[in-house]
Amino acid sequence: MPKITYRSPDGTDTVVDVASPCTVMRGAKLHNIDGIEAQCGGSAQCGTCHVYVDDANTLPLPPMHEVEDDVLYGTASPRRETSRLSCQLPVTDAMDGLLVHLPEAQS
Amino acid sequence: MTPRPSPSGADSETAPPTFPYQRGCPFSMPAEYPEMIEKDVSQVTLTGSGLRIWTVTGYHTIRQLLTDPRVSASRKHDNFPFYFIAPPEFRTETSFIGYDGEQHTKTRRKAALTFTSRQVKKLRPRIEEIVDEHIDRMLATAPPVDLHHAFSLPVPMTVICELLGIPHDKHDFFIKHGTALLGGHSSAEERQAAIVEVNAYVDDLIQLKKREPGEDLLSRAMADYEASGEEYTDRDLFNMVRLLMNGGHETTASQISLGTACLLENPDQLEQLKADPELVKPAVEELIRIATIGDTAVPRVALEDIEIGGQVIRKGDGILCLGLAANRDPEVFPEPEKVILSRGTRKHLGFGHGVHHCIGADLARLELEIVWSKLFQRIPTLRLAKPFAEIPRKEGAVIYGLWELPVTW
Repeated sequence: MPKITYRSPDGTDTVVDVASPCTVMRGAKLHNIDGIEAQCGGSAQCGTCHVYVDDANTLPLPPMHEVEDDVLYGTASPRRETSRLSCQLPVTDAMDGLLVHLPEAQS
Repeated sequence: MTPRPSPSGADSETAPPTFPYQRGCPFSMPAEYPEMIEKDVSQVTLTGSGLRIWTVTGYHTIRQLLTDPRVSASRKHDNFPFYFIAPPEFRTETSFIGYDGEQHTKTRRKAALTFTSRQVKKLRPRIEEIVDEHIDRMLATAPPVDLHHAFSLPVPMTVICELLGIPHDKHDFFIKHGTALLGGHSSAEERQAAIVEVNAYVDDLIQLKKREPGEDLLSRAMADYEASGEEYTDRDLFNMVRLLMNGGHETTASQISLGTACLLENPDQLEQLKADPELVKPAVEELIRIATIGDTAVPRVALEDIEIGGQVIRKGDGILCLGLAANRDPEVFPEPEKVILSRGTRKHLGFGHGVHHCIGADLARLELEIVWSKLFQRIPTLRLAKPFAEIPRKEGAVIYGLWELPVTW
């Protein structure tokens, strides 16, 4: 089962096993990880499941669709090169070891 | 009517109560809900279809269920919670509201870029004009006026027509037919004729956009399909247009009328809103929560056995997620029956939850914000023209609402 690490802004890591089919967002919600709101619940609409993928990431992630791109312009914490909506990242075995950083604010 | 197979986990000896229930007060839960909330997950029989299905009422339970990949929104399942005996096309001609997984994602994305928060913000000046024009028209007539017909129905219809790229000279056609379908003053024959005419026009519209594409949603959806190389037919486009038109019209119209009535019935809250225009954004959220017009409009089917809320929902069983009950969860919304505009948050489930969360939520929010800012600013003496208790309600309708809202000033 792929392990995903969620790093909070204070540097605390929470590592969870995320069973497929599941997204990085739902993995956080199922494990009650603070810092992912996901108000809309995964429709790429609210922008409150924003994460920064680790700068050093080499694991394969799905390409960003233009809807996600558009929503990322409205996130509460500033968008960076590594910004993604975690609801748009379905977890696969190839993503084992993924590290995502949680932003300061989601709304 | 022959009842469909009961949920496998059901106690087949005792038929569960028939559903939906009546609200009585439009801003309260039906009297039967508190007992259902106690159980969280319980069973009912749908009056019109005879289907025995599960209802889920807990705020957290619903959020969990609506993000569970073992739950389907497809109308194809035998026990999909239809309120009536559904004709076969109701199971197939749905567009993305009735799709799962990749098919859902791909289809929804053809429309989604029009409805992101960033794109919707650009519509503000035009929606302000549309709202002003309709207020002007009301003010030009002698009160009393039926606000539901003069304002709540035509405003969102005009907005969605513009987004879909329907030419201006056809807007009156859609407003007239939309009112015939939803206004409550027409016969079954008139409603059927309206459906036939609207459908014929949508077919024409698709051909028009093929010949002369514009900057509208429909033209963009076609271009996206072409660019993606996915197979698609005119039926796919037709179903998407009809879905967006239904979703963008009746819901917003109902919310405008119910929210306006709620403000007029809570004068202390209305005074706060008039005194502080900044209050309108939380007010929109609180009024959506209080009304939860789509309470009975979130149907699903279990694809596997799901243990939840102390019950096992069996594979193939139908489920209704009752947002009105969830939006009365006192742990999430203390004193839930009270209207407190200042506490409004986006936590409510008034737009559903999960991948099928209302695609037009941000558009609806903007329309409602502009409506309630302008309506009371421009008509500060607006009031009901008859006692609220006498105004007829759409009891048992999938989208709850009022049939009329007589107002004066």
